[in-house]
Amino acid sequence: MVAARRILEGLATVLLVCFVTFFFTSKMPGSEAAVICGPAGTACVRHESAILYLNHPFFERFFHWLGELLQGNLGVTLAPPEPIGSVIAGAYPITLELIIYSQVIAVVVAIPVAMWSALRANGLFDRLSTTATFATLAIPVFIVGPLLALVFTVKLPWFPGPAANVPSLWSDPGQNLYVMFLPSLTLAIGSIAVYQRLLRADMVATLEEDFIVMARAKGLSTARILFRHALRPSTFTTMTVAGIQVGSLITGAIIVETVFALHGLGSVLTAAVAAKDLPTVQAVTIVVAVFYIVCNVLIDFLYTVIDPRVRRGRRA
Amino acid sequence: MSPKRHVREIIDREDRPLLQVENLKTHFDTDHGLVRAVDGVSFNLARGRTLAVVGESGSGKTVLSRSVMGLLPHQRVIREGRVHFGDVDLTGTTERELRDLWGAHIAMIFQDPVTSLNPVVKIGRQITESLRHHLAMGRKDAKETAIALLRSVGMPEPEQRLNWFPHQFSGGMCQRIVIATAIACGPKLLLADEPTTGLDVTVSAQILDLLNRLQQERYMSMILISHDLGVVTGRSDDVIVMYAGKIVEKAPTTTLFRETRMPYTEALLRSAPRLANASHTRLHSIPGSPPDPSGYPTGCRFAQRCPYGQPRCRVEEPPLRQADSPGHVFACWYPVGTPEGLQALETNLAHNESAAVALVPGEAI
Repeated sequence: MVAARRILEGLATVLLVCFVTFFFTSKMPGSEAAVICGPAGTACVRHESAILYLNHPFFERFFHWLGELLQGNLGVTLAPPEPIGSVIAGAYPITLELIIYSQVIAVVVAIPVAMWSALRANGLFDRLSTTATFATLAIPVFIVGPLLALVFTVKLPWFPGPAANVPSLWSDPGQNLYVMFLPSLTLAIGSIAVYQRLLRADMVATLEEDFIVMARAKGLSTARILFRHALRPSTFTTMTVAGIQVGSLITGAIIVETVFALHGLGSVLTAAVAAKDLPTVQAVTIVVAVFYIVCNVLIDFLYTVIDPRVRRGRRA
Repeated sequence: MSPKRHVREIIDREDRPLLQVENLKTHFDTDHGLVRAVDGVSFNLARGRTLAVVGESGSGKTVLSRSVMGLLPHQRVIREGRVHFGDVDLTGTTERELRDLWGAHIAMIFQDPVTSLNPVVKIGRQITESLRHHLAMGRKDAKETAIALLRSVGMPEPEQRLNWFPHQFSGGMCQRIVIATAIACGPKLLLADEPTTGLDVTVSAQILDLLNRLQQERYMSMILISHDLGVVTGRSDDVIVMYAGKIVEKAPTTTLFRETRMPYTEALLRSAPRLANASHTRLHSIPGSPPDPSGYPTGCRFAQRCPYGQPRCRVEEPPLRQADSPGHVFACWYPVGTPEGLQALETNLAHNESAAVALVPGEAI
């Protein structure tokens, strides 16, 4: 019941995003026909405008575009003409991997650091990690990226530099994860700081709870108390923020792709914007928005997995 | 079921009490000064006996129970004195070593059953956890033991309930689960810290009866902490009355009620409702509030609120001294039921001391 409602809400949001995207891109100066024709002249523009439905009223064009979209047809890039669907299909794996890989790194680093900080709140380690996370929060991705690239590919040649060939994750996973490590770490650094701060704060509160004292009284080890009893009830804020963060991760991924010369959605988008390729900009925006909404709906479901009190329909 | 304990065995000799507490002090170093929550408490507890610890909120009961066990915060705590549990000195033991005793030999039941269970963990796992940890039981054995434990604490359909989460149970049922968890490994000592505070009266009586039954069946020693002397009647062998971190009276339960010596105990007795009284009988309250634990007054700590209080009480602290009955000690210069006490009370009444007047409402003007 709840699940169905949440999915419907998600679909409504997607529809709204489609409308807003189409509205703003169609109001942008410059016509698609002009882009295609270049200096070819008015006859060409008139011809292309007819093909692209540019002379029809706004809502007619919107519903035509939406109808094509619902059939899975994202349109054609302006110049040279290529199906946008296949352009995106070729680019999205890099971006998706970058986001997932960075989040895995962020979680793996943030959880132990947050736990250790919370366990000895205001101790030396806590204060050091607080300082370190604030410092990383203050440095933007476009500084961190070149810096990491400089240190770990030039000064210390441990990783391949930008423009390295990225093999597919499925054919050569080891090499893929190795090449993608530095870009993913760059994207992860901001997330590490955010997750560490939030998780530490919630963990400090959880560790004050009666059930933690009871777990101690059972004679359990500190590690067991932290992982089995304290971690799950401390993750709610972190999860919510992780969902919201997906948006800034996508922005971050675009920058990281530029810095490390990766061919993901970010490079498709920047190229399309530069070329005034509006159909491609629209399509990428829609794909990214759908991804963002799907992530947040998934996180809503995750709450019910993590906290049994959110589940409904069982007797109380 | 004969699991191998991988925790140390406790040598519990017949000729000596299971638990010996000598001059135990527990002070907290806070920003508002040194809080002397427990300030020199001594008692013994034999195997299979129940000791009740009674006092107002803030008298140090909870800290006493945690301190006996060693279950204290890691920082800014000063704990002095000796606690012997069987042949183990609990005060000279690291937390790592204490963990082998906690849950296995010493278990605790907390005030609020609903918050003492982890909301996101199935109750089955919360019960089996210590079985698997201390007794190295397999998953299946532990589950069967948990079912048996739940049945013994009066949980209907225990097989299905193992998969439930704490929020699906009432407060009374949660306390039964907490009790099942506490007794899982067969502890020798059970500390029950106001186990019925959050529960309604009938459930409260059921839980206390359950604790008594389990204590007798399993031959455990129990420390039952309560702010209510009525709860303690008939459910304990001995009673300690605590005030401001100290023992002010200690006696076998029946003796305490019959031969009350300490004015604070008398005040507590008068503040509890009794069935013998007519309904709508006004309950007495103790005027004033307990002293600030970061700066106790000199002399007797109860003197300011005491109907019997004399100038001497405010200067000289009364030591614990022997009463007529064996095992009965109290700390008072002008004890209840003695000529000195009576005279002190009359003097105070003559001077219209408010605490004394409050004690005898019929004569108040």
